[in-house]
Amino acid sequence: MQKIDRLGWADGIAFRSYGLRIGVRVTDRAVMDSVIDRLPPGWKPAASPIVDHLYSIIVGGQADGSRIQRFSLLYYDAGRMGRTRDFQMLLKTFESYLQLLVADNARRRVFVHAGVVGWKNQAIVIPGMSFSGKTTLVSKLVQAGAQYYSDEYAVLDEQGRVHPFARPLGVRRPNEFETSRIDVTSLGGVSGSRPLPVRLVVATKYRAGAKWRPRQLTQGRAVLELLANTVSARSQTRLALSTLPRAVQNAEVLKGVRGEADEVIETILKKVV
Amino acid sequence: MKRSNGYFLPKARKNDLVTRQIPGELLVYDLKRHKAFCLNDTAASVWKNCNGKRTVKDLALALEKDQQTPVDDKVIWLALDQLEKSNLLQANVIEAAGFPSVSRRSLLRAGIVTAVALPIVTMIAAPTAQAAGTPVASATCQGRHPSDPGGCGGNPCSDATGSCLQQGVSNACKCL
Repeated sequence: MQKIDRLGWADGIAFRSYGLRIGVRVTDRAVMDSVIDRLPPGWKPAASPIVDHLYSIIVGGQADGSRIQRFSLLYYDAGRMGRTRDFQMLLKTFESYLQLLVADNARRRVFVHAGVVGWKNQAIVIPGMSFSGKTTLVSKLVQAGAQYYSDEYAVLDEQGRVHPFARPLGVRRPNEFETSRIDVTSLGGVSGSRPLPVRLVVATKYRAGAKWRPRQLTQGRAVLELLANTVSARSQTRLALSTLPRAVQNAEVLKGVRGEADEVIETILKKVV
Repeated sequence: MKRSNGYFLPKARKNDLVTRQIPGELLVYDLKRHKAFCLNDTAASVWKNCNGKRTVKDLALALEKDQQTPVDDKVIWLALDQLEKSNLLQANVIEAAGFPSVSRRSLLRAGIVTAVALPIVTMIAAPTAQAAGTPVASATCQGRHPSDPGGCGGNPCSDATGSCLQQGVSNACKCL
């Protein structure tokens, strides 16, 4: 850590996010705005420079008068988390790790890997692993008039209500791994701001040609479904087990494979009255 | 589980478990194995009554009292079988008892249909934080050392196929 500390740090920021004190420092002041753009939704500047978690970003690129392209590096405390010549890729990695850190350690909040939209003042939660088609379903629901809450995490408070985590949607093109960020307004949608009670949980996965014939889950099975996508399931088990049942206590929970998103949007929205 | 005068006395495991009662079901989280279980009413009643002093017959009577309907011993054995497979009992019940394995299908085939719901224990493995999040971009993985914190050794590096491979003499990682 001392070796990293000795490097010339040009700028930095200390901020609070979901009860965590986090710092980021960079070797080039010019990238600070791009770094700030990647901070978790709802972050607030911290008054004190003392932090519990520290990220260090060493900006690579070509030095003056040299043809050598240096690596950009990302450190979390003393551990190297990323090394690439593509700085934008490093920023994506930083954002991904930072979100995971917040999701795993947040105080009094449970982060479930899920897409969320608001409809008629109630939340529709779509839990699922990456590549299950969450973002596609969320963007179609937003286009159909639902309020955008998140395409990455359902942030649940102790009462089981969902709070917005409205970062730009991470859309993947077919057969591509990397995502492109799309602002919800470009889809003609708006972001929600108030916490909402959960009315519907849709545990689904895209399968080409599949027909949407979901089965209803009991409350206990619904909790397991959410727990299987809960970031802090292992680290904050008691909090998860007290929060998730509250989230689904008045919700209908459906599980099943789906075909194209357009075929299920109407059915899903009709479930919320 | 103890053996007493030829009777088997199953005992529920209590250590390293977090439980949460919800209407009609019991949630149990195993802190050692990081597995979560959902027990329906029947399985939960059997599990709660396994105190190391009750025989299978006693457990059937307790369930009968709970549900106000006759219960066949085989229903209890089915519950014990599932609880044991879920590591929610202190010892291996079925093998120790030398009792033939009981399945839901075998009960239905034998015509043992009771007013009591057959015991069901549903299980999931709790994900690691990394597994529950969106995987890190594959380019991040290129050239990393497996022992890097959170690196290939820590498993978050994955692409669409979720695989990460150690490459060549440099020990650098590469996502495939």
